[in-house]
Amino acid sequence: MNKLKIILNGIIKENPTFVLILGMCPTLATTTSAINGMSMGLATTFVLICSNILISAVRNLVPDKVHIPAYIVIIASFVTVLQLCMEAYLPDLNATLGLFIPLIVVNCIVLGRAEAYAANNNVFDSALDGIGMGLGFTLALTILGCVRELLGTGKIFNFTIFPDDYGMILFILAPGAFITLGLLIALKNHLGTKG
Amino acid sequence: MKRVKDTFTAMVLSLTLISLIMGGVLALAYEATQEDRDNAQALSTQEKLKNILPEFTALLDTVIMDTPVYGAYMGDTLVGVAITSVSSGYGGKFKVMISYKPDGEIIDYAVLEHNETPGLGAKMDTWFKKSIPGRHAIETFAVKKDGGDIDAITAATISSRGFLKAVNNADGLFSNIVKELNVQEGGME
Repeated sequence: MNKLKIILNGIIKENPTFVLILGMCPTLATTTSAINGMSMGLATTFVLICSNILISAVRNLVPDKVHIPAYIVIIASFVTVLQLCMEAYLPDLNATLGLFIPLIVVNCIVLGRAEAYAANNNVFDSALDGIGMGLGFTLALTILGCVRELLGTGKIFNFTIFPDDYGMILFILAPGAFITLGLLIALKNHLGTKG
Repeated sequence: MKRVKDTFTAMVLSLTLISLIMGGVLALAYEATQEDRDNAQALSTQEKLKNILPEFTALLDTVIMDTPVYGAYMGDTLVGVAITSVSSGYGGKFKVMISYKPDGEIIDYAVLEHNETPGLGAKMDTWFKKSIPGRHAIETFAVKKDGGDIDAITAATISSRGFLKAVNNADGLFSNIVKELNVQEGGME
């Protein structure tokens, strides 16, 4: 029960995008379509889980003064491994998301969870935290991507809902990202205060 | 277990160890995926070439005037030429491949790499299929806004201009490349 709480914490209570407001660069830049948002979320989830596990495993071997460089080396390595794998096995996805994958290194969520959670908890709990936070991030990016893709082009996951002549291009562009994110956070807060 | 203290040796040792181990992991991952990465890239180019060129029995992969060029042969006759061209759009550099008949008529094109906005500039992979194929390499293309006769992608004029610049660049090289390919073909006999 307690373990489930760790996962749910990342998805709802401390959702990285809607509550912690962390990792805004990939959130705003990659959510032009639902599939892009979801892929970016899953890529970040992979890095979060791997880095949380390894950082938690070495947490007592790294002196406090050098823990940030040590963590960055670990995170950057996993990101590079991820990028190599995407180039090899998912070339199409890599063509659209490739630019943003290296930016996962500086994503605040990954380093933030390493600092705040993996550095002080055991390996298993840290892995669960990575899964929870990753899923929370993926969920947020997918919702954001769906809304923007629907309003902007009339499609969701490339299925046409209405013809794209009626799409509001604003939502595909940067301002649409801010507007949609703001409204979604407002909605989340409204639902949160009610319950 | 207590965390190790901030002594100089501990700091140097731990950072060195972590860097070494992660370096090893990277080297392994690089080696393990190298073959698949090369294949994936070659495969996607091959697929696209097949889509935009007429049927061929032999494909010549070469570089003419610093431009990667593909010559498609049916037996000994040159039936099509694909020229890669780089230009920049709204989201940075992109790479397209334009295919021609030997007489200079544009057959088709394919976008190899791009970072254009999805739903806007990214539409270039299909948008120009109705205006560019069937035209001739001696023409210079421009969007209507610039006095030309090509419809720009709605709300993506910068991407459209970039795309047409790529086509124009390839057009400019076409006559020399065809000459070169015909010579090479003669050399093969």
